[in-house]
Amino acid sequence: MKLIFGTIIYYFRSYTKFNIILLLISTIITCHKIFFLGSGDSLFSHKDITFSKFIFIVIFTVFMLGLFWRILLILIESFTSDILQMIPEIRKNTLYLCALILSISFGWAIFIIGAGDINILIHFSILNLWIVSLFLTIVSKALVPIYRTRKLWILKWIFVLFSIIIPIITAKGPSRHPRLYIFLISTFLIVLLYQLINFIRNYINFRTDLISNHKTPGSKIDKLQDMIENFYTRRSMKTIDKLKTGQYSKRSTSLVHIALFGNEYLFLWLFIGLITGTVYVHFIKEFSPLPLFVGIMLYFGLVSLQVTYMVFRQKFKIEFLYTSLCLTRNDFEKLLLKTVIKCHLSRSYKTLIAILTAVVINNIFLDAVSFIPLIIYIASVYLMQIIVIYMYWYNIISRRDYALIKQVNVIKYIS
Amino acid sequence: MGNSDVIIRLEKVSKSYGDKQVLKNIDLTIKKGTIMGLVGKNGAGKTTMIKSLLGLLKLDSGKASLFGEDSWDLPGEVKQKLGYVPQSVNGFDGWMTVDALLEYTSVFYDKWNKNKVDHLLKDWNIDPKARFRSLSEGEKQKVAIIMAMGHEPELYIFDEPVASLDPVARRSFIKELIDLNIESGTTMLFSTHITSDLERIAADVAILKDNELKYVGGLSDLKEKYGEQLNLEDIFLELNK
Repeated sequence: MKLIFGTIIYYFRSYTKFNIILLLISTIITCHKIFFLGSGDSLFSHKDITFSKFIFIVIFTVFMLGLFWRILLILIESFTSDILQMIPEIRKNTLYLCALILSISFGWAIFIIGAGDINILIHFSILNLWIVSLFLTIVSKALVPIYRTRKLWILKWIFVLFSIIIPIITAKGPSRHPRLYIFLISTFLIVLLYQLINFIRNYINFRTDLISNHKTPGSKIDKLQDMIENFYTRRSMKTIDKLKTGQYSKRSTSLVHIALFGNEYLFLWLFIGLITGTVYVHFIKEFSPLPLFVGIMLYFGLVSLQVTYMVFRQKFKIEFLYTSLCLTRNDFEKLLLKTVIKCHLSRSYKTLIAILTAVVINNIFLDAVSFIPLIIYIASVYLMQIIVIYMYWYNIISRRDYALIKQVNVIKYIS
Repeated sequence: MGNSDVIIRLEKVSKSYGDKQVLKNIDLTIKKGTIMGLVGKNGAGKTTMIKSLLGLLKLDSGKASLFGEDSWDLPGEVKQKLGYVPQSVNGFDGWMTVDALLEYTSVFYDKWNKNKVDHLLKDWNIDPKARFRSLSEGEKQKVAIIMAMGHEPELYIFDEPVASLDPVARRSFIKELIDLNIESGTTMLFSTHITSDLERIAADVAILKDNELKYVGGLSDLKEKYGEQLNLEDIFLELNK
């Protein structure tokens, strides 16, 4: 018990700001539930949906994903930190701690959601278990295997299939094809249980030998990142070749773009996609422009956060660009500003098309008239985003130190 | 030597982070062809001084210049003549392969000595097809040094370049610097904790202590002052007592 208590204090002290933000968010959501919703109304009920209710659904979703992220960090640190391995039974105690946090959080979440609507509860639980499974798979890629042998590669493909199906079928509910629904959910739960048991066993026993370096069919998924990176390298090399032969006039712009955004940060995209997807599936049944408007705003915000993170996560990149590009400080700042804003807008724009397509497919009742306010909403958000992003980045880049202060502050702020 | 021979100049440079003063009235002049070693304890301000010189940090007061140009607003032509190796080189997220990274770096400069780059890669046992992420800290440091050497700059600024290198690579690196200095009269400023390396390469030394430069001058003069029997490490310890 003393060890668990010590572990709790240790993990609270690391990432203190992140922990405090999570605690604050949970307090705000609890107050909203007690004082505004009461025991009769569920946060996730589609009846009497209001703007504030929607905002709280978004906050709640962000909280749950933030919590899973925090647990993932605890699991990784306890497994990878050499110093922590010196503590007896650290991994077992870490698992106890994670189970404790998850149980308390699930209990609290059921209180917030309300136990009145069993379908919402099932939907919520399955969705969260899916996220647990997803996070376990992320950990398993490099850390702790979730399979007992390398031969069970077929489960990885089943998991990929379920990653697409589960959020959709849990949102639609069992009404249309109850047997198929039960079959899919049960199969998913069995796979998850299997993953969990193996994960716990391998985590406690510190088994890393099962992570495959051989070319088995299962390792193909593990090589996905490699494939994507090879693609980016090839793409960058093509641009570099063109730059060398003088085919591109925008030499400096291309060089900055390759350094800052040449590669995607896959986990962050996954995180952003998860939030948007999770918020969206709650509203597939009843479409309303208001949640979509807020959803798009949230999405743009997260894209901005991701772009900011990409620019400042490695301060060496900015230093390298500044000392290597033959530009004055003023020109360099202008170029940086232009590249960053362009990246913001192109990312938001591309993903917006995907969101709109999903809206059209999932809401066949959406007639042509409803599209007009929708497009006005999106256009206004887009315009607002351009203004805010310009002001924000101008303030960050203009006449500042590149070496220490700014980057450290931004990274601290983000993490 | 005239004023045009001065490559690096710091005049009454001061820099603080909040309440903590890191550099206080630093004066330093480095002339063309000099190899200057910068020594100081951890947190003495070596990196801050180097970054101030490069215009990566804003000075609280004083003036820093490279090739006679204000460091805060270096023109492009000056940057072409500059090779900088930072303390930490964990950039580019590791997704680029070594050869891709070097090809990418070559685009920044008007001239690029590919033969030299290939020779160094071979000499230092770096696999050009390896992803930057998969390299050890020492190998990353080697790649960063090669990146800075490819365009054959007139001035090198190294911030603890040998900290992660093995003794063989350190020797090879030092030999490379000496050759460069002899062949082309390249100017170099580098900070390090490994004083024995400084004794092999540097003619001049600057010692940072308590936010100030306590000594700037020839290594031989320093030894003469403290006794020929002492090596630089002993003198450094003596100074920091």
